[in-house]
This record gives sequence, C-alpha cells and structure tokens, in this order.
Amino acid sequence: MTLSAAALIPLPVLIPLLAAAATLILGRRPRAQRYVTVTALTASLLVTGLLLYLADRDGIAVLQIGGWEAPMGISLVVDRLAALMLVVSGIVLLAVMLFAVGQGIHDGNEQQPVSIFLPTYLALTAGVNIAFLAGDLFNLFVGFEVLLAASFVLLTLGASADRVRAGVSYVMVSMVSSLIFLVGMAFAYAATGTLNLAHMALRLDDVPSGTRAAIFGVLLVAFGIKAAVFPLSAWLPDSYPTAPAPVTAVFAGLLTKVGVYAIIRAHTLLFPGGELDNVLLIAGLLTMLIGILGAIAQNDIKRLLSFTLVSHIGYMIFGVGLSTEMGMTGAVYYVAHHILVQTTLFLVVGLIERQAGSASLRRLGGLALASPLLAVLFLIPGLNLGGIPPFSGFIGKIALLQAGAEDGSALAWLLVAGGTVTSLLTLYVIARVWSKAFWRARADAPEGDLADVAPSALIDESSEDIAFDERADVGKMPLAMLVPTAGLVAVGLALTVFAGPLLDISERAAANLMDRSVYIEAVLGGPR
Amino acid sequence: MNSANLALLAAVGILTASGVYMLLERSIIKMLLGLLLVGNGINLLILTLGGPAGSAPIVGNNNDLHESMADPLAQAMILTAIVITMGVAAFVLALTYRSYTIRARDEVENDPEDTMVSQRRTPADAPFRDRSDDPLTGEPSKSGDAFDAQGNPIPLEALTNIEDLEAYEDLHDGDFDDPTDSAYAGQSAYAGESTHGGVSAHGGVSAHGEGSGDADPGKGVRR
Repeated sequence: MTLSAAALIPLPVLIPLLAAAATLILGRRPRAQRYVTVTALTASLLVTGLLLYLADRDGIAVLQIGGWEAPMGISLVVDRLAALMLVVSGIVLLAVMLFAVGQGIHDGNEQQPVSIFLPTYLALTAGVNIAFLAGDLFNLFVGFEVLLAASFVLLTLGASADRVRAGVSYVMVSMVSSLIFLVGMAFAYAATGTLNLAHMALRLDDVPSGTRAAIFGVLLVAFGIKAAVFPLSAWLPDSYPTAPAPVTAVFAGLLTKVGVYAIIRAHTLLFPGGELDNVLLIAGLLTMLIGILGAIAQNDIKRLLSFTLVSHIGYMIFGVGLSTEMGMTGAVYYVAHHILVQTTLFLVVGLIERQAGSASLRRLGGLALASPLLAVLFLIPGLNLGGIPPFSGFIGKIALLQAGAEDGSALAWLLVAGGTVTSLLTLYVIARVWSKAFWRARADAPEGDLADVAPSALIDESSEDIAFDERADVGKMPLAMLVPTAGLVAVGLALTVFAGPLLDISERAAANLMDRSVYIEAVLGGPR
Repeated sequence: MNSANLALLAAVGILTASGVYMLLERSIIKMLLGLLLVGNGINLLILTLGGPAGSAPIVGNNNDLHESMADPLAQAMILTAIVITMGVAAFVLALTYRSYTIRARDEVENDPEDTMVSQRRTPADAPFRDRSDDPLTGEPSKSGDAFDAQGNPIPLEALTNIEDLEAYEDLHDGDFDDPTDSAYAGQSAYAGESTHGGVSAHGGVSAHGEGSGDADPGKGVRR
C-alpha cells in the first residue's frame, strides 16, 4: 500500500485550526459557519478513523515535523491508544456540535461583534487532538494549554453571574495545574536533558529511582488535577454544571480523559517501574467511593452526573495502577466507553431541561408520560453507566475487575470490592433519577409547580423562577437536538455489539503500551 | 556538572511562596497576581536549568567566563510559558471586570448549590423526597400514589385502584400503624380525612425556603 499514515497525522490538528480561522472570518454568517464546522469535524473524524485502521494494521506511525530527526525536532506519534482516543473524541465532538447547533445556540446580542462559539469549539478540538498526538512533553503542555484556553471561553459563554463565578475558579485551578505540569517538565528536563518522550524514557533509566519517583509525583499531581482524581477533584462539580448543556457534555466527556490519557502515557512510557502504583490504586479507590457518595446528595442532575464522572475516573486510575496488560486493556476500553456514555447523558440532560424547564430532582416529574422517547434515551445510557449487562459499562467494569482479581494483592481485591460497590451505587443514583424525574407525577415533586425561566442557552440573563404552566419555549425538543443524542446512544450500543473487536484493539493498544521499546524504536528509529 | 545558583533558587522559592499565598485569597485580582508570581518563579526555575548565567544561547559563542553556550531550549520554553500566562492574565482581567460589573466587587463566592446541600437539616429536604412525603420524617405516605395520568391529585376516597394502595400499606405495615410514633399518628389521621393529596407536604416545602411553600398544591398540575 502506498498510503502512509505519517502523511495523515497533522490533519486532525490542521483541519480544525484552519476551520477555526475560517469560521472567525465568517463570523457574521452563522449558516456558513455551521457548514464549515460540520465539514471540518466530519473530515477530521474520517481522517482519524483511517489513522486508527492504519495504526492498528501497521503499528506506530511517526511524523517528524520539518524533517528534524526525533530527539531534536518535534514528533507527532500515533499509536493504537492515541488513534482510538482520536476516533472516540471525534465522534463525540461532532455529535455535540450538531446538538449545540440544533439547540439554536447563539452568542446572543449585538454587543458581541463576532460569533465565537464555533471557532472556540474548533480550537478546543485542535487542542484535544494535539494532546493525543504529542510525542514530546512540551507539545503535550501546549496541547493542554490550547484546549484549556478554549475551554475557559466556552465555560464562561454569555458571562452570566454564575458562569463568571464558576469560570474564575475553573481558570485558577486549571492554571495551577498547568504550572505544576511546567515544574514537572522542568524537573524532567533537568534530569534528562531532553523533552522527547521516547528519548526521555531511555534516559530516565539512568536517573536515580528517588529522583524519578519525585518527577513522576509532580507530573501525577498536574495530570491528576486535569483528570479530577479524588483529592484534586473538588473543582469539577463546582464548575462544569453551570455551562450550557452541550459545553458541559463535551467537557465531561473529553477534558478529564485527556488527563487520564496523559497519566497512561507517563505511567507506561516514562515511568514503567510502578513506583507509585500503590498511590494510584488508593487514589482510584477514594475517587470511586467519594465521587459516588457525592452524587447521592445532589438535587441537580447535572451536578449529580458531574459527581458520577469523578467517581468513574477512579475505574480508569484503577486499571492504570495495576500495571498489568489486562488492567491497561480495561482502562483503555473504559476510557472509550466512558467518553461516550457520559457525553450522552449530559446531552440527555440538555433535552430534559428543554422538555421540563429544569434539571432539578425537586422539580422534575412525569417525564416518562410526557416524552417516552426521552425516557428511552435516558434509560439506555443510564443503565450503561450503571454497568448492567449487555452494555459496554458492564464489559469495561468486568474487564477491570478481572484484572484486579488476576493481580491478587490485598489492595487489588479492595479495589475490586470498591469498584463493585461504586457500580451498585451508580445504579442506585440512576434509578433514583429515573423514578423521580420519569415515573413520579410532576405534582408530587416538592417544587414541581416551578420551572426555570428558559432552557439554559448561552445567554442566561436571569435565574428567576416562573410557574411551570407559564414557561415559554419549553416542552418541545427540536429534532436537531434529538438526532445527535440518539446517534450517540446508538454508538454507545455499538460498543456492546462490537465489543469483541474493540476489546481486541484495546488489548493490542495495551500490549503496545506495556512494551515501550516498540514506541521508542518507532520514534527514534532503532535502538540506541 | 555545573553547580546551581543558590540566589536564583532562593528567588524561585520566594516568588512561588508569595504566589501561592496570594492564590489562596478570594479576590480575583490577588489570585491573578499570585498566578503571575508563581509563573515567574517557575520561569526562573527553568532558566536556572539552562546552565550558568552570563552565557548566550548562540552556537560557537565563546567568552572568558564560559566555555559552553547556554541551553536555548530552556529559554524557548520560558518564552512559550510567558505568552500563555499573558493570554490567560488578559482573560482573567476580563472576567474580573465582568464580575465587577455584575456584583460590584471582584470576589469569588461559594457555590450556591454546595451551600444548599450543606445546609439541609431535615430528611424532607433530601433530593429523593416527594411532595406527599411526611414533612417531618420524610417517610413516604400513600397519598403519593394518588395522582391520575395527567398528574392531578385524586382524593383518596375517589380512588378506583384502592387495592393497590392497600397493598402499598401492607408493605409498610409496621411503619404506618405504629401508635408510639407521633408523626405517624397524625399521618394516619390525615389519611382518613383528607380530600386533597399533597397538603401534608406543605411544611416540608416551606422549610426548604424558596418561597414555594405557599404555593397551591394543585398548581403544579400539568395541563
């Protein structure tokens, strides 16, 4: 075959960035903006799909930018893990964008000269893709910064009082994590004299183990904040739920997973000795349990889902901390599953807000009767998240629990128990949302007579309440919002149908990750 | 291996420590200043990693002090970090201004939802409660099932599926008929004479305190 994967590697970054520029130019033509965005994200998704196929067939593909050889120049690397992440995030980004456009998301009034939602969204896409493709530590940092800067803008769209409050704490926490990342990078550079991940992996072998553990520790704190691992997770439920529904959906699905991806990369490539595995395992256990206990206490479905998001990050950390191929397989599969299911659920909450004028369990009721379609759309990803068999959540969890049982240490068994309890509690939380929002009569909800003024779009001028009967523009769900949500639900179901091939890819990705010499040779061109 | 420059490292420490102190403030401007201080401290740290001071990062640069050139990569990293920090600082300033125009001060407030969760005092405030639940204990009452398909409350006497309600009562036999429990003594009396589901929940709703307690119980009816 003449088709070389290396030539495709820059496209997932270039296409969104160029499209972002084009949409800025087309700022006054919303329709043209939408066409450009849809085209760009679809093209990007196709390219990443092709990359996944090629990476799975031919192994790791590397692009040395500008023709500078690896330790000197910047490398972009696609292995199976990166390609899989690119494809899953591409699907999610496309679906959420369609949902946002269908919601009639707009930047509001004449005071804002350019329409910034779609350009920023495309910049976020580019940032996420850079982070997945980065072959050196500094490029990873730049990718994080690009996606963070875009996320700052998306989170504070409309700049209502709530969003400014949430935005300030989100910006501060994110910047602190970036600065800690910078410190870790400085330490790693001081110890090894290189930033290229493969080169650094070789040289870290000669670094004393104490120094190595210290560097890993600093990097773990930085990535842990981004991934919302327990002691560093308090920022997430505070900031995410205030954003518009599609923004929350894409943040919840993708941004934390980029942190998890960075942890996987650092753990397998740079620090394979497993020095901090016990720390990871304990952090994973606490993340699972404390996250889900937080979810039980919430009224608001968005906040409730934010806590389940934190909780389920623990599963991935569990898989990584086991340091076995099986654990890594489970973690990779779980990341793919969780990106899809969490995004879907947040989109469904967007529909619930549209339909019922609120997302609070104190107000919702009777939705199963009012909109059976919405009930189905919620129930499938809900059961999926809770880990009910045949769904992908069950497959991912069983893979992780098996890996834990295989490991056999006392701590691993503790995590198996913790994972099971978390899964049951997730089911409890989902069942409660179901029985309150969908089954109970609205009149029986404690504040069922109240509704929010309008479905939360971009501009959220007022947080007043109105009587349920008098709400405007609520109760009907546009088809353009329903279709992307239903599409994501279908993709989530496809994870079950194609669980075999997907688990196989995850397994091969994990095998690649555990044997880092493959990666190092691919980047540096032969052992040195 | 070159020895580290102690004065520079001390400066890094002081900058970072002051920055962290400022970051813990509530005022957005102070937090931003803290962020900038920490950022500068870390940039200085990276600079010290690039070799001893006084040498330029130019190939072939030889002078009396140093035989080798400084590391250009460290300086390139600092440059990137400075640009990123500057962009974010501009954004935070814009947020500060917005916060000032909305609230007339530049402080970060607590999350209102968090405050609400932490101030729950009675079981009736819990997220899984219904309007028809007992306002004191939060236990479910059988009037919770007395809604028709449109969500309108049905008087208990007029219920057609009374068998279901009886089965429901059997399930909670011990709870509902416990004469020693004063809350349920009132509850069972109410269940006999009430003609309007949901009245008993009023206390619980107003305890929540969003001005909804005085709402007519029939108002939440879907039409």
